[in-house]
Amino acid sequence: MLSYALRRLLVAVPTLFVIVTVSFFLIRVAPGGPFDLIPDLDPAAAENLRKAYDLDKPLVQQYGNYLLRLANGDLGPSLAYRDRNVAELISEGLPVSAQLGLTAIAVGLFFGMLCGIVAALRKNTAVDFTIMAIAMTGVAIPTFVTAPLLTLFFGLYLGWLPLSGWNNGQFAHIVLPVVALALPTIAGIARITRGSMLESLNADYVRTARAKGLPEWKVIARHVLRPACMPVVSYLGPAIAGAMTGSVVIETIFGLPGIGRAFVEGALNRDYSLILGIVIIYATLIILLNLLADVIYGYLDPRVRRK
Amino acid sequence: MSTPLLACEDLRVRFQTHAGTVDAVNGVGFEIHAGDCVGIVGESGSGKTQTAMALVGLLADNAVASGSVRFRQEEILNAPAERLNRIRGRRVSMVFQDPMASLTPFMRIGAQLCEVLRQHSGMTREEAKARALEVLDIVQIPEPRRRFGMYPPELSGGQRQRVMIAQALLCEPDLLIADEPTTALDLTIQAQILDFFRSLKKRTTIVIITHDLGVVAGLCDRVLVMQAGCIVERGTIEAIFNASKHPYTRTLLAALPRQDTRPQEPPQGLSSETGAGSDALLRVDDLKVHFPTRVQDGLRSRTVPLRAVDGVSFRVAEGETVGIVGESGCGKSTLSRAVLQLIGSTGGRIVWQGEDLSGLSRKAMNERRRDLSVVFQDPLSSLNPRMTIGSIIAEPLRRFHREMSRKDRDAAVLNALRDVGLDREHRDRYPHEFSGGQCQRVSIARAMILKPRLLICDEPVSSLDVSTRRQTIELLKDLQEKHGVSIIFISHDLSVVRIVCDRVLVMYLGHFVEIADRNALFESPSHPYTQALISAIPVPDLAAQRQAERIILSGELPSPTAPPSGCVFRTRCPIATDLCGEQEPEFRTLDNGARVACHHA
Repeated sequence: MLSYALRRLLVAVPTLFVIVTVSFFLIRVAPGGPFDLIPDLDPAAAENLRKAYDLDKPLVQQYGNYLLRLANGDLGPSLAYRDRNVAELISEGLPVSAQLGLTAIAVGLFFGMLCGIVAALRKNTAVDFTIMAIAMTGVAIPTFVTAPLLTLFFGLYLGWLPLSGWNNGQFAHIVLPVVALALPTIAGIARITRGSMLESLNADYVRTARAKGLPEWKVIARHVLRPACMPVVSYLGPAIAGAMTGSVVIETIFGLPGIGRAFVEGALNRDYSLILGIVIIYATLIILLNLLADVIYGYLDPRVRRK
Repeated sequence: MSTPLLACEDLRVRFQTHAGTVDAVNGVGFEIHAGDCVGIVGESGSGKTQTAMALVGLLADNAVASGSVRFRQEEILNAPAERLNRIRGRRVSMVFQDPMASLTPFMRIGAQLCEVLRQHSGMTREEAKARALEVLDIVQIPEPRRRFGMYPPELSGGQRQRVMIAQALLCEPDLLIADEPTTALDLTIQAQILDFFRSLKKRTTIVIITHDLGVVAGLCDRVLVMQAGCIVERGTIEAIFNASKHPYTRTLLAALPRQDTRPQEPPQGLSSETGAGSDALLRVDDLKVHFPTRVQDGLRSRTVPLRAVDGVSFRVAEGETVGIVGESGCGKSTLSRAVLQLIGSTGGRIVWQGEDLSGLSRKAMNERRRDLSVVFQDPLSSLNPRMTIGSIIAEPLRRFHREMSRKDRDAAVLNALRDVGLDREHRDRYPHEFSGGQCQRVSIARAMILKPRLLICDEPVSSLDVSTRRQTIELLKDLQEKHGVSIIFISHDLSVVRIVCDRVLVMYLGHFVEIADRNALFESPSHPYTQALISAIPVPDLAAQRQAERIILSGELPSPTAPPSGCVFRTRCPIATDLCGEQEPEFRTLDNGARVACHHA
């Protein structure tokens, strides 16, 4: 298992290299440049800016320089935020988004699995239909609808919770964004869990477990739950990476200084180095979390481990 | 008579399905007394398994059971799970058919055994482990301590079934119900397990559910025969086998080929040397099919060839039926696919009508397929579910007779349907609307429509019920007589091979060990493996069961990635000597014409 994980990490290096290369050239293909939005910019000043940020050299040379700096752990200066570098911007935004995203995933995982398990055990009853109807709604309604509704109700109407702002991650401030983010996750995980539970309840070995005279809860806990978790694990890998790197909708609606908003703004501003920095973070997270998911897979099912 | 251990009265099981209700069991009643060994016999759909499931409250959610089941005079039918759980696993335990699917794959063997003991006997962890190891030893699992920490997929089929039986014996139950306990196993492994069941009769009361009267013959004292949810006949084993009264029982008995009687028709007078001339239809010389497999060797992995077929030679003459028999993993299916060029070969030659097939281009090979046809094992999954029966049968005509008019093609399809005993109305239906036997008839019609010169049948009747099996074999023989096609008949079932084949090739671990004329093979098998295979056939005949001296092979098939040196069979051979490990035996021709690869035969 260890050697397997190490091999996967070694493969991650060329993967990241390819991602950086493709992204570097792709964003340069997009029309416009980082300084186009500055009003009344003198052409000579623009030339100076380009020189200062190394943008006047041939593209391939810029690419070489970027890789050299990257190898030294330097993500470069931001092109849109004067006097800030990308590493600073990410280290400010990422903790906010990560805290929010991870909390939302944890909440979503707990309630999602709970709903899915209950629905599967009460298959084709009113309980099952109610849970699945709610879950279907949860999947169907986008967060840009639920988030304003939540603020409207709990923030404005009831006045229980603040409308927006981060306030250093104070509990009251993160409740609404976490709920808004968690709702579709709960719905998604509930549906996946129900399906895989029903499948694993049908397995012959579950009948064997019952024939052994085990009480139903032991049958579920020991013989049904583990394989039922597997599709959830593979869903979680990319879901966690996505949640940690922020949601532009939630961060904008609740006015949160997260990395998701920075990413979209960076793209609009043609802030090349910021975009690349965030892409690298996101890609690394995806690779690591998928690796983790595979390791957990191996733990859940020894057959996977032997291959 | 003493009070019965288990009494079942007017048991009925009904399933609620989307298509309405289905009555699976229609008023079944019987008694099981302590010390009995009872067989419940019937074909698929007879309700035998549902009866067993109803006894222990394991029916599916959509089933409704009524009647009465009393265990030690306590009513347990439809009892709440808490009450059943005091009996299940402790007083009554179950062994299921497929040990691969019936053991939890992600739990260690030890944990699965210990949870039964911890549940029912309140043993400590250490006590439970000691008892589990003791029972693993009783069921003759090699190295129980090592197996204790392994997962079910790491064990072979036979060992998994032993674990399953160990699990059932842990609490020394009063009653053991075994549902098709040997059906998923190979012949020699089945013989091992049945032998073990015979020794179990002293320990506990046993109910065996099976479709195979041969299994019952050597084991049970009493038999219940089920058909369509009812018990149609019951009696002592002697009464059932020697003086059965019900026509269905007699059909079951007749459908089973008897090993001790000669088939009626004599073989076509072909000796084992047939096909030796250069005019053989098919000649296979030293064929090898190796699959590269990766094995983990510390941190690095390396590629090792899996020798599925490792140097076999044989010939098939015009109009001849050649049987290839062997247990699963012996390479017989790989061999058939290589002959058809559906997989590439690693070495050797396949000469078809004087032409080496392995050198042909894909296009040229496809032209040859007109005369080379195949019927696969699972009839339903080898027919395209989205095509009608008619278009499935017509497809080869569309490929090879493009000039044929629609009218002629339709006529040909109707002819083919009639030849295999299906109606013209069947033409526009889809495979899922047919039974396994009917689907196999469609497969045969499709395979025969171009009048091929060679038909390869890969386990064509293994997935069919015994009575359908007989009809399908008759059909194949009729078609052969009519069209003079040569047949390669692959099967693990020697009793079927005995009816169909003129000549039999016995395969073990990628090698042929014996090639003989049918009668020579069955009357005087020469190779020790052939002898063991023939003795392992559960014969539906009491006298034969009792007289026959069983040869029960120890151990299991070695890995084809690391075959034994010298003779591949020596690790399980009862007469192996040092010579067998040093030198690979050459084929020798014996007095009765059989050719055998053994130093000592």
